[in-house]
Amino acid sequence: MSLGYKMLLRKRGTGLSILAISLLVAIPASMGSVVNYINSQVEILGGLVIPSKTYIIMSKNSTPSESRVNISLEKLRAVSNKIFPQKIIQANLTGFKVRVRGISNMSFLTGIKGRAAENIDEADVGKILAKTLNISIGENITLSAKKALTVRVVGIIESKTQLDAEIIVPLETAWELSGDRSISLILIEDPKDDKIRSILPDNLELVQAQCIRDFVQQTNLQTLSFLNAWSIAVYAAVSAASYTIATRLITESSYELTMLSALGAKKRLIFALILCYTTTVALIGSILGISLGVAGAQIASTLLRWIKNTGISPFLDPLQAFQILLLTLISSVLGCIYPALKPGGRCL
Amino acid sequence: MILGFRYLRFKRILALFIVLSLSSMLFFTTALSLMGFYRGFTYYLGEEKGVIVIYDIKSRTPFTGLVPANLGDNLNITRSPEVIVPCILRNESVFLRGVIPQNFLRIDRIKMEEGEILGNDDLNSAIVGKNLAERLHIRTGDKLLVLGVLADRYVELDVKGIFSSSSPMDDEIIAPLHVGQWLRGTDYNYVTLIRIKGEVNQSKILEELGIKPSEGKEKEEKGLSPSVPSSLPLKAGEIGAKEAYDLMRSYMERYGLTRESLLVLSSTVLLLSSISIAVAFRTVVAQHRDEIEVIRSVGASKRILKADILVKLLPWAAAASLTGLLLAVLTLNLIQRAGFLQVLSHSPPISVDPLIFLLNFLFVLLLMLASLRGDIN
Repeated sequence: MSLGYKMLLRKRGTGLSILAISLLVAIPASMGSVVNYINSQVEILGGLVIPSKTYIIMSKNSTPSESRVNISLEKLRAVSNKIFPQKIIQANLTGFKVRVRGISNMSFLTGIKGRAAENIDEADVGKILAKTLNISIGENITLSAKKALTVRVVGIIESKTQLDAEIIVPLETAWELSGDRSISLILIEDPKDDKIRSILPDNLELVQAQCIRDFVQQTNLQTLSFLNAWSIAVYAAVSAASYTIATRLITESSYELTMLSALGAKKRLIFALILCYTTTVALIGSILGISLGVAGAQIASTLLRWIKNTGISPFLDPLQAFQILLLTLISSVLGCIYPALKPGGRCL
Repeated sequence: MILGFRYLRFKRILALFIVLSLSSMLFFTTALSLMGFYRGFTYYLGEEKGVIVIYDIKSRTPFTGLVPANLGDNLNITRSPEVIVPCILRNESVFLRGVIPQNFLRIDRIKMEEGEILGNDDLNSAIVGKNLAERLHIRTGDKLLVLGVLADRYVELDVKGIFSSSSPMDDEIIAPLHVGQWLRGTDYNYVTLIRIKGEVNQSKILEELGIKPSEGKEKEEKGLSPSVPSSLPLKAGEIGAKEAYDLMRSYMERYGLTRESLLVLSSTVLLLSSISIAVAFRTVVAQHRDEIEVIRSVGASKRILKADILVKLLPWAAAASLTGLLLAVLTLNLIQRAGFLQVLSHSPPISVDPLIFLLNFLFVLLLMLASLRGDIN
């Protein structure tokens, strides 16, 4: 077996076969290393923005107006002293659908021209909504949801948030309009993150308002997913290359293989020899290819740095290198099975 | 045929054909996706000629700049102030475009697949691009919780309709301008860019912007776009105006991404698979060694033999290129449908460029010539 294996490895075409595989492997290795660098830079840039610590507690897989939150506020006060229960409802205002937000503590509102609503008969209107419906301070408006209620506009809010397109009322007013005393969501600031998750019941979730890390991860994931899907084409080419390598080996070693058969070697042994040969070629080829790919990408980036004064530093994770190695071996073995199985090793 | 003998066996050529097809597929997959990305990005702000964009020169991406919202207001032409902002929707990264619907629709043609078009009075509504709606299973009437990325904001939006535009907008949410401004964390006086369409040239716009900015002008867009106060830090040289295509191309060029550089990168892939093609070719020659020796012994010269093999293999090379192209288009479509073909949450359009096909065929031909020269000798 080892004699036959050495004999096949010493064939003239082995070097070219290794080169063929290594150049193919260099393609995903170089692409992967460049993508890794880009992704790491995106993550660094994303990390420069420190997201605020504003969270929303709401029903799982829901939206604020559909959510129903049922949790003890006392428990939440143990993790943060800035909690704002809110009730969001849809109401009708002279034929126009408006969103009404009931807030537990109106005194926290800022950017009000006029003043914050203090009782059930008063409301503040967002600047954009006020402009669209020509509402001004001092005007009485009738809101109808489950119940109808006439409130006096005491302030126009400009917060540069969605409040600017809503009617803001004390929580009691929202409860009166909707006919139920439930809470849609709880806005919570600077909570002790680890503790708050542990006190939330299963039907509620904690949503961070600013999701820069999620966005960066998603964007990077998109690039990696495409790279992985695109690699299918590379491994298909590796498989085809392996097929021709095995075919060529069989054609060029027909004399030696016939001799081995004449000396009593079984088909299984010849199959094993071809398989071992292809695996060895693929293994050496992939190690060389990975090195070539990463080194090539680094050389190209150095040249770019000299020419344009902007360079990149491509790198490959050991896990990615192992993944490339493994996939190359699998596709090579798959590619060589058909020629190696042909009777007497005579392919085509 | 130069020689009348049919000595090349179909089964033996098949290996070469498969290698050629798969190498071509690899090249086409790379080239079509890269060129699709380039095309999608350069036409991001409109495919039509005559669309001029007022933008922030200092911004490193088309999504991060800020310009005063009422720039070009005095030009009396169609203008669409827009805020393009990244956000998170249903745990996926997406882009939301805040627009003044009436103005936006004068520049871009969109087709409503279902539901209704966004109106100027829709304050908390949005329309969703067809691709995004399919990907995230969004329907008309749904409520969406959109989370901010650049600012500490969240917005609940009612889906008013699903639209298609055959452009990168099919992967976006279109909402009122103020929604974009909330999520961008900016003042109502600022937008990401302003698109202008009409009988006005670039220099006229630049003149208006650079020399006579619209200071203290009181004219307002209906309802939603307040006027720019005279105190805005508008300086000549910080704001530019370019044709949409030229602007996006210039953003790409800043990162060394040109059509040519992407084609060269794709060709490198083909170059790296060239040794596999050479090995396959050598295998075909080795398998036909006996036949070649017989033909040589009856008087065929090397040159005639090479020419004959080349002529006989030419249709195979063309067929392999075509097969590779078809396989690549099929693979890319499958990848796209599975949601794996996305760059910055946009699916690049896949279109076949005859130049790419020609490039592949010529390369394969050259490689065959080189291999033939070495192997027959």
